[in-house]
Amino acid sequence: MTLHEELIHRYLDDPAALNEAELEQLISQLRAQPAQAVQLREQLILNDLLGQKLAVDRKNFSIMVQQRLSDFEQGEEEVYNQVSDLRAIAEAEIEKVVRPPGINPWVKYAGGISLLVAAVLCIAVWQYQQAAPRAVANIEELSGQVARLSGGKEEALRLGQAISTGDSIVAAAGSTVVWKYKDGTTVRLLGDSESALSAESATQAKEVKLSRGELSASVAKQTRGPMVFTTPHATATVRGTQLRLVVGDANTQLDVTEGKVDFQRNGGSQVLQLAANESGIATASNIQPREVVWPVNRGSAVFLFDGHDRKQFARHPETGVPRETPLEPRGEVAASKVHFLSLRGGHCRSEDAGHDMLPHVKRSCEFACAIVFLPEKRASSGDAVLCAWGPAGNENFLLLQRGQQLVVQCGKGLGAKPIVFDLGEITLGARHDVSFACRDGQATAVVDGVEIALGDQLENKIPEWAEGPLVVGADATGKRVWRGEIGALALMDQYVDKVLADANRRRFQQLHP
Amino acid sequence: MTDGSPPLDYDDIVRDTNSHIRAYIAGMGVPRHDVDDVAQDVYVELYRFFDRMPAEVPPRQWLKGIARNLCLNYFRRTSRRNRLQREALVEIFLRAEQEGEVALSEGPVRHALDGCFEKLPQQSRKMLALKYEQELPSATIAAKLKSTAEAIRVALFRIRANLRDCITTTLAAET
Repeated sequence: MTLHEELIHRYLDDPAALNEAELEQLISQLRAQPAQAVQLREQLILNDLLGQKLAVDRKNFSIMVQQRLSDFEQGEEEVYNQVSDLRAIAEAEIEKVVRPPGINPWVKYAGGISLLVAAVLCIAVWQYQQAAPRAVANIEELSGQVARLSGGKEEALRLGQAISTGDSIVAAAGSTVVWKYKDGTTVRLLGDSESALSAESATQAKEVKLSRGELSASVAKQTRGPMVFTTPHATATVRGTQLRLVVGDANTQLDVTEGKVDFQRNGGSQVLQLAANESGIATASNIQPREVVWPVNRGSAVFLFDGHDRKQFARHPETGVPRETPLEPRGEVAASKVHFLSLRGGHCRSEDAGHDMLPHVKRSCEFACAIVFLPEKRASSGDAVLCAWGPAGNENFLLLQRGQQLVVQCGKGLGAKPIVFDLGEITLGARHDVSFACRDGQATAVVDGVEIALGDQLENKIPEWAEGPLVVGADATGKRVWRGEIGALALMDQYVDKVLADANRRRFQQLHP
Repeated sequence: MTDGSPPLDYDDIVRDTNSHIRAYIAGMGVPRHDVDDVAQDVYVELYRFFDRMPAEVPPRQWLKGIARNLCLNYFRRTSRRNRLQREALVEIFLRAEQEGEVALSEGPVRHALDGCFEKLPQQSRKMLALKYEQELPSATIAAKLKSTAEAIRVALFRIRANLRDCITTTLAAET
């Protein structure tokens, strides 16, 4: 065996065994003979593959990675500090107890008791640190009035601020707040809501308590145990999914967008296992699957049309209870083969719906329209109105097609020029899914899944909106007729952001593939 | 992250790539007892920046990039006296990677290794068990087998070379 070969064999035996001079020699040798470098590298790889196959402590690598991720999430430094502190306390106590023989027995007893006390203290410190507030997420999006209640103090929440376990987040009507955990999990709180962050005491798995209001969440794969959402009526247990929770006075509704969620009524033993596009509803006494409906946020609809063969509803202006409010056909209106409303020169109109919607929208100061439609293959030369709401010439909301362009007009009150939003081009003869929403300072549109930023400096003129009919397929005077098919239309008193618009789009596709 | 293709699952990536990535790290001269630690760091990095992994880059290739950087960090951190030599070796091994047997870096090597291992003579398997299962140093193995440490090192080198040939033949036949 040559000296060179011996060097390589010793390096393979233990790469750390060679001294500096030997390493230099090995490097020169490998540079001079690249084939030897290839051979040595392959030997190193085989060395490791055999270790992976035979060494007992290398067989559960995936589990080790999971554990490593767990430590990472908790914060290695935090763990290290906790362990160091506890070790220091324990070591100090052990040193005190280990003394030379011949010591007074009372001192021994005292030492024993102090050791016991130290152990109890260690456990107490550990438990305290587990229960102590821990920064777990950052505020990613914020609009409206949102406050954080922490340790009895209330403060306005700021963008980018860290929030901790033990914090309560309270949002006023019309507000939105999104927080993001270190693993990418996001929670979006919508409107008048109250929630609190916590963590499971033993595993530190994420917990969110929603006392009232609405949230949607996109939960990354959880390594510390399932993320748990609790409400006054139920518990939703999640490992990795997208979901939406709405807590009312009497019930909690859960919509699962992706993945699987275990949904259990508080105090009940029955667990509903809900998969993607399934919903459940829990009250104080009952839990049951819920019919899959469009839109996902159906409770926010002040007017709803979801197929020509289904009844149309508008919410009662005082009680808020949906009641049948038919759109009355004028002119040539028919049903298409796919439950769409086919408009061939005619339109539909409802004075009642227009009347009933207004107080809700004015109260929330938020408005949204979700519509699925299919325009004719040939566009008319002028404006054609898909949907109009409000008095003629002073419409609160107008969705119109101008050639291939889609345009929204929002009213600013009597005599004032409306705000015009260009939503871009659409394809004639193809189905489109459009969501438009506005509220104080903000408007957004999502056309076929693509978000169109419409500005964040808007003056909210919803309080100026006036009573007038709801018309589909023409303006309030029955002119500017639109031709095509309407699949669904929901007008809502809640701002619909991109996440919700996407959920609605997916839901419609699920129901009408 | 993907465009039309199904979304990548983190656990699936760990399961499918860990064997290669660990061997890849060892192939840069990281000692056996530290290979899994560095590999775990690689997967923590993947977890932290999962959304940054380009859709068009295969996960294994992406992970090898992370592994390269972490190996260099490892040698900077641990090799105070001969850091420059360790880094030079990494460079040599990276160059060797371009010239070496592709199948050993890309194919289902663990499966092929299992088959090849079964074909080894009893004596070779016993020696591998002493080396890799019981993790005994060559001198101790030599004492057990009434041989010398040098002879054991040479024998292990030959067994690994045979296994390497067997694996590349097996993988070539499968493709």
